[in-house]
Amino acid sequence: MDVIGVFGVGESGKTYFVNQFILENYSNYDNIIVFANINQHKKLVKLDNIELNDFYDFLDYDLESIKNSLIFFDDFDALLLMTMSIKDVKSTFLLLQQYNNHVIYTAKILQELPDIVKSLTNILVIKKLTHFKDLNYLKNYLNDEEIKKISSFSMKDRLIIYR
Amino acid sequence: MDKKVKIPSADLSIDDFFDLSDATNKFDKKEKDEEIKDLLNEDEKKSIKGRKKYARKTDEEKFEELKKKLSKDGIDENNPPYYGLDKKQFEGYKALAKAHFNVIGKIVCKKYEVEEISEDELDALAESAAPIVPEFLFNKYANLAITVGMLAIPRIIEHKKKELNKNNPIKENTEK
Repeated sequence: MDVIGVFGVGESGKTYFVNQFILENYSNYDNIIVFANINQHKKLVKLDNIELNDFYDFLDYDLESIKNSLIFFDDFDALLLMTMSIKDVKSTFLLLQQYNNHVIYTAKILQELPDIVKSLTNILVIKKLTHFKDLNYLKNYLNDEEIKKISSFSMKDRLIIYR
Repeated sequence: MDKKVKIPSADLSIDDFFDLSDATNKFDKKEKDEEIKDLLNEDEKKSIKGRKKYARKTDEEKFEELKKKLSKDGIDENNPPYYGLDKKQFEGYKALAKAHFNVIGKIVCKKYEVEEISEDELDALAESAAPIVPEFLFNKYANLAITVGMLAIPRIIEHKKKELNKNNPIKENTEK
């Protein structure tokens, strides 16, 4: 079992890295599951009835249904977790880690769960080289091929593996 | 890829899902201005007005493009089945889309008290979303890959509603 923490400043490419990881490794897993920060993007689509609590309820009650998977917590919101008993949250996540092959967290959730940080088997840090907003701006001046090069060439160079 | 599965709610319009005013209005908010300011040096700040205009324009354009792509919901019969992607790319994007649908599909079905979404239904949703996944990965909406997952929600609900209605058609009120 690997428990991987991916760190980096805002918009350094943490999510991009893990999505690429899934793209390159999906064939090694029977099941891949992403828990994302639903609140961050909720305004873009009409989703009034789905709340973060629903995700936590799922983690709490349906954990066994997602055994043996690659689980990825993409900026999963820690705000709700802060309002709950830390003991419960901690035990839920530790159980989740025991049940699954790989668990990957990006940094936000880890801020509230130091015990999970201690349990990480791998720590990855992404160095921020190109801001996605800059990249978007450059799109006005570069062609698709050039943009793809800029957005992907540096991933190996900018990944620091600490553990 | 060869198995034939029904594309859930392929007849729905993408306009049913998006609220474009919300998407564009967020750029009018003060916090967005602050975010943009933080990204700029002193010289650039002088042209912040231009940058704001640019940000707003590109967002609208992006969503318009996305809407157009999504309106071609389901497999395009004239370009089967990989939308110009090679099979490996298509399978990768499908896997990524499915990863984003997975739990959200289960949660939605539970929330709306309908039968859990099947593997075939998840596969079909992922196939229909696969062609737009690169859009999220190679532009500033990289972390909006979640949107791919969220787009699945109303489709699942509609699909399940149809299923429910089919199995339990609404009975006419015959009570006197």
